[in-house]
Amino acid sequence: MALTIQEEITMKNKRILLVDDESDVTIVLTFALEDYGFEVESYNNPLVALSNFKPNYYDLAILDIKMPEMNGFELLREIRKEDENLRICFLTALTELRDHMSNINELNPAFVKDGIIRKPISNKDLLNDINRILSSSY
Amino acid sequence: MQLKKKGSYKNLFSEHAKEVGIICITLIIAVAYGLFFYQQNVTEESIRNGLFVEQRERQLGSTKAMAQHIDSDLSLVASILQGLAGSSYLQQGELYGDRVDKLMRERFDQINNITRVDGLFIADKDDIITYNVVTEGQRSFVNIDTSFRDYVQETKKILGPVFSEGFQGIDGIYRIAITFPIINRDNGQYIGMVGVQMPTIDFFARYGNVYSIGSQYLAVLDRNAVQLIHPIKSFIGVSFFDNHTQEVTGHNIVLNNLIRTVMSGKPDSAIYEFRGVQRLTTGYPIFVEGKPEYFAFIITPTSEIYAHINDVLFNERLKMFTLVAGFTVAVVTLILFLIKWNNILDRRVKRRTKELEKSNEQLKVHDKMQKEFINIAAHELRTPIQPILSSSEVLLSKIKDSRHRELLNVVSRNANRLRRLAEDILDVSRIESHSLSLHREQFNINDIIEDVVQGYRNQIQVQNKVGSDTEILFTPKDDINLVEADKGRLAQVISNLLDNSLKFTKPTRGKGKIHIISEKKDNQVTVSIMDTGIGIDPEIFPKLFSRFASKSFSGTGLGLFISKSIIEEHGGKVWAQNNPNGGGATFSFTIPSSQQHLGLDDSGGDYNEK
Repeated sequence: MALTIQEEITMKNKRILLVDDESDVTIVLTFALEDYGFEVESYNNPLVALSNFKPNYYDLAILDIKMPEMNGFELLREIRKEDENLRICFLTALTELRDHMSNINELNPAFVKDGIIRKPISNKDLLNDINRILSSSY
Repeated sequence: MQLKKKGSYKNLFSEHAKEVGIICITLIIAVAYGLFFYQQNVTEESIRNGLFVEQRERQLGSTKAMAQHIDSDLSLVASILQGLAGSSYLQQGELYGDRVDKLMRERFDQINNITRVDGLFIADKDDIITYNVVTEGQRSFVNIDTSFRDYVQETKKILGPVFSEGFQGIDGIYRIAITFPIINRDNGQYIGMVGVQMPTIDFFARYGNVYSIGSQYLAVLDRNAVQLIHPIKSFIGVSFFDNHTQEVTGHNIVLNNLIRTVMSGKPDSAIYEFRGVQRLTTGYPIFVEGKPEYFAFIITPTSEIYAHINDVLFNERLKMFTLVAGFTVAVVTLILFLIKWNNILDRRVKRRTKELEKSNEQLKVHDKMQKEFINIAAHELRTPIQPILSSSEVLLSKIKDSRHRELLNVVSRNANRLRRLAEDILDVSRIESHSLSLHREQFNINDIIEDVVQGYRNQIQVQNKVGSDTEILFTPKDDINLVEADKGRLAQVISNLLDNSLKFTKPTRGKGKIHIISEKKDNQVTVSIMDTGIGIDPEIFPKLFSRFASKSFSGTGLGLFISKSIIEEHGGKVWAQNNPNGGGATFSFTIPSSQQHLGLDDSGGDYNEK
């Protein structure tokens, strides 16, 4: 699918950290997002993601919530310890989020509100959401 | 500790209602007993009085009977004397001798059968005793001049029977005498008299106790109030009104009045104290030959009377006590039974409550498990759909061959179908288990309708969907229709209904048209979606909003059921009808409208699926 030139310029060199325990998801979404011009670093294991985490390196982190080693909120907390400014959003199939959130106040309310993307989602819609988050101010 | 909460007294009461109830009942029964015994006491008082009066009347009656008995005995003796006075020997003036002796002895024995006399005598006209029969050991008083005796003089005076006053015999024994004059029938000459004399103590002892004042005794007075007989020996032969007697009786006014009344010929009774003992005295005049010659008194210590009364009362009391005891036993048994029954019921209630609590717990657990299952199922269904959709989307952007693209479209379409089916089934599951939660906020429903309609317009254009030659028109009556509802769910409903309309709108005359109206009526916003399609088959009508609606081309058939549940959960209504002018149907729903213009109410509820 063709991007506008404007879109291509803004998208170039934006680095995305993608963490999801489903390898099928990471394979396909990496494909799609790289097609859109992003640089994608993906992990299926949040612990591995953390050990390889580079602060101030990524523009956006897209995290799954339900993962066996560590859930998305804990991962977010760990990431925040190393990188305070990184934009983070969740990509999840979950509905009852409250059950999994230990303390909603820990999260930036802006991120929690805008930053939950529902699975399943079309690639185009995902792109729109990502653009919205990247262009939003804190 | 000073101030207790207002509610706590009520709580205290309801907690211990059982104990309070028992105390109340006990109090009521105690009061009832109290009143009963008080009543008994009052009654007993009057019974006592009644019994006393009864006893007094009875004693009076006994006194009367005694008086009459004495009277008849005295009269009987007098009639025997009369017979003697009329006998031939005495009439002829034969006042002594063997023949007289024989007759006299006969009569003496006869009289002694009636009452004890100790002397039967004959006196001549000069009052000299010519003959007498005396009891053994007694001195004869033949030849003694008896003119000094009052009764002798009286006999000569009245020439009739005399029942004498009391007198002291020569031997010191106190007596009374009965005399009868001997008058010659032929010439009316006074010849002499015949008489008996009897010791008062022997005579009156036949009628009652004359020995001791400790118990009921009798006393008799003569015309001069001289005491003929009395247990107190010093009284005998002494006038009642004499100082000696009066000092002993303590000049008792009540007693003196009683004596005077009876001596005036009237029976009477009185209660007074004598010798430190309260006594009841009843007096009755003894009428002999119609004249009150003597006066009889029965004196009873009231203690005796009371003892008798107490006996009677005791029996009554015993009866009553048995009754009351029986009643009490019955009541106590009843109370115990009630307590026991109450305890049994208590236990039962506790047991049932425990059972219910357990069952409730189980239900809660079951509910929780079901909810969790639904959530897990949701998650698990959605997860694989993502890679399918994304992959086919990426491929579609890369593959140019139209046939290959067609196949990819198939994959994409069916992945979406699966997704929608999964969502519908999950929604139905939530509805069934009553765990469909709504995240309400205040918003303008017209905006949502516009969004959905716009989305459909885009889709129709871009994807060449079925109904691409259908026009969707949205004309809200007002600019703003505020509602308080779940945005996502409402959008879902509008989508569903639009889907439905699009499916069944086939252009019958030119372009198909779908017209959406929203307006505020009463406290609700009504949204109507009219199509110009083929209308609803009347056979399907009843099942339209149920789970068993017919499956259509791209729908799961659950859409209308889910929409209905969502709307009804908001407190609104859904319905459908065929258009009256023919051509199409109208689907409508209502949502309660919101009054105030508050800010967006984000209560931070659960994030729900669209």
